Amino acid sequence: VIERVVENWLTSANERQYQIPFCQVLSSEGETVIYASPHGALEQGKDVITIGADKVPCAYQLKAGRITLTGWQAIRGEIDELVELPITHPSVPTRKLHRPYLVTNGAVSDTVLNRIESTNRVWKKYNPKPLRLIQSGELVTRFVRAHGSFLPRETKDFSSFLELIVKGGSGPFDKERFSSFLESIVPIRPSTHVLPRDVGRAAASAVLLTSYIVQGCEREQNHWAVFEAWIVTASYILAAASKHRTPVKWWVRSFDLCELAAVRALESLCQECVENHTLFTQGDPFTDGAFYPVRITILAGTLSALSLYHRLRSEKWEHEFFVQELLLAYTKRIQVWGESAAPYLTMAALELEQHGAHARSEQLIGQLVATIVALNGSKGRGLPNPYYEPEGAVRLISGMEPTNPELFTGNSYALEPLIEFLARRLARGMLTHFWERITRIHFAGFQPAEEWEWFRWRAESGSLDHRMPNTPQSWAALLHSAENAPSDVPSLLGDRPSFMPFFGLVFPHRFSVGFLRSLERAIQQHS
Amino acid sequence: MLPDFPKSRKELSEKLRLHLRLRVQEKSPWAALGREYTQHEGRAFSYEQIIDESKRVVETGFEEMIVPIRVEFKDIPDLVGEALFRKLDEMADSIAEQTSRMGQRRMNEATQLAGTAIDAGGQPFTQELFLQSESARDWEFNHLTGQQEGVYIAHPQTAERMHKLWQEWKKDSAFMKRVAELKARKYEEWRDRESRRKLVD
Repeated sequence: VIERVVENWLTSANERQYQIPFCQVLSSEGETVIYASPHGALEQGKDVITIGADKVPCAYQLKAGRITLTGWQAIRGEIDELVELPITHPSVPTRKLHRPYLVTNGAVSDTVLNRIESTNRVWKKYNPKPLRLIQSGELVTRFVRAHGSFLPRETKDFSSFLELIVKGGSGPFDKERFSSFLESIVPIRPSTHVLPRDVGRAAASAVLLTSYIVQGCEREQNHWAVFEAWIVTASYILAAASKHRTPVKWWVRSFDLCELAAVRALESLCQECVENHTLFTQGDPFTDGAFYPVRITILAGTLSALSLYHRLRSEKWEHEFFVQELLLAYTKRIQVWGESAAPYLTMAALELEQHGAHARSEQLIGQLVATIVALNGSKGRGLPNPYYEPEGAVRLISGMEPTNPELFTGNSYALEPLIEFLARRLARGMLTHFWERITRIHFAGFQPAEEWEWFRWRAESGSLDHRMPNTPQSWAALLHSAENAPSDVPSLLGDRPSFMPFFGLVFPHRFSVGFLRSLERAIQQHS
Repeated sequence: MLPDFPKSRKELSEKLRLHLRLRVQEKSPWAALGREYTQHEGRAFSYEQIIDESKRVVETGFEEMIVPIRVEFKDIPDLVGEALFRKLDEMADSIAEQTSRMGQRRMNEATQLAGTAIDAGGQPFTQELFLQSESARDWEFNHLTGQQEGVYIAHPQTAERMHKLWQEWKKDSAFMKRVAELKARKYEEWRDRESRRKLVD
């Protein structure tokens, strides 16, 4: 069945959609991927550059669909560049001859095959290594082989896999179900030791399976859902690596591909926002008003996270000022649907600070604190906790879940990290104003029993701890504690600061005191 | 499998669970008054208790409640309407009883530890005992009205006796003066506690 799944997916994918999983296949086969063109645009005819297992550099150009003679003539210039121009990359010695590959997820007509054979003789004077062709049949075989034994085995897991594939892609990504499926692939359940090689193979398989599952979202250009899917997969790779203490070299390529795919999804979302002329409205105007502020909050948070990602990697990013303008113009439209909105607002606040808008940033967090203390410190239902995703929270507060009796008053998961955020900015006046109401709420925080469970959608073991705010609270003590080093963040997360903004958005229930301290510290070091 | 309707049955099941929950709250003051909290992951939790103005962390986990239910195949077709709600009520009785027992046990443990528990040792409930127990605990007042807030939980027979006693005690001006003095002192203590809810140097 997996052959059919791969075949169906491959035939419907464009070259951009199968680029990352193809990189994963190459990596699983022993090649070292050193470059994948970030925007899908051709760089001297080369979409992917690798160093082969035999140390020979390889360059791949990816195409979608059947290549006929007309198509061949249209791409001939790019193919000439692919074959003739040497690879210019710091990891490849100059003048080292490369193996060129033309890859298509369709078939190549016989006339084109003849052309390739004859042209190879002409190219020989520039590059003695002939152009090789990879067509759909070979691709399917190599994809299936890359999965190894890490495929859903139980009927319920396979059924879940197929349901995830056929599910419509226009709504929020079903992270809970997807996580449950990934737990049948990534070796986190067995208590016995798993070999590093198997962690690597499982990670590779997870990357490929994610590609098949997000095809519906990609078809709908639902970039937010695609982003969330890849971050969940990346997190599960970290979970397995952390659980089995697997050396980085076995899994880092798969992790990096997940991160790259997530970044690409957000880049596409940003591009859509840049080109948007409808003030970010969408669909039926009679129902959009209810969800518009939620959409704005998600856009503010995700695009800020993308900007922070580039900062944390010391990369210049072309849309940095677009994000700044969006934040300044639209933060008044932001809506706190629940505590899972806290990471989104925090990313926006941190990005605003990078543009010197400190007052706006503190105001944003201050408003969030005001909302939490007003709703969770009084009678009523309170603000849904971070275990409620945006849609779930909106449904709950709008009365669309009449049989759900859960109450949230008296506790808050996000309040303590937000208080520390304000304390680090010496916003004493604001905190003095709020403190009386803050003391009526208990700080809640979940601490997974084992570090690797941080990266699971729901940890099996761990403790939910409640603490009472101090009455009175010493400002000096609060400041001292807020400036303490982060203590409870897993090293695999702390070592990857650029991944942190994404992780915080996709796993809002891990947004804790330690997480925010660690993220802010990293941003400070890169500013 | 036989023809079935899982989606609608799931919805119905959720409605029945809500009904059961509300019935339990009607039957057990502990279920109605206790703070509810849903834990979405992990198996343990901790919370703080204030003992003599210092905090103590209580680390604990879940306690299982078991309600044995027996339904014969022959009864299932008729388990609708009143029959179904009768069955749910039986379950609610058992859950409410277990909730109350657990609440009482936890309250006893906490009050023993805090030194606010008064054991009458089987003796009649007297004015002195009342003042002693009221004096031992913190009182809460409404911020806007200044009215004392709180709920007494007692067995229905005890509650009736206490009510009768109170009607008598209300006529005792010396006793009521002591109650008023206690209330004034407790109000001051509450004000003092409330004034500590602030950020200081």
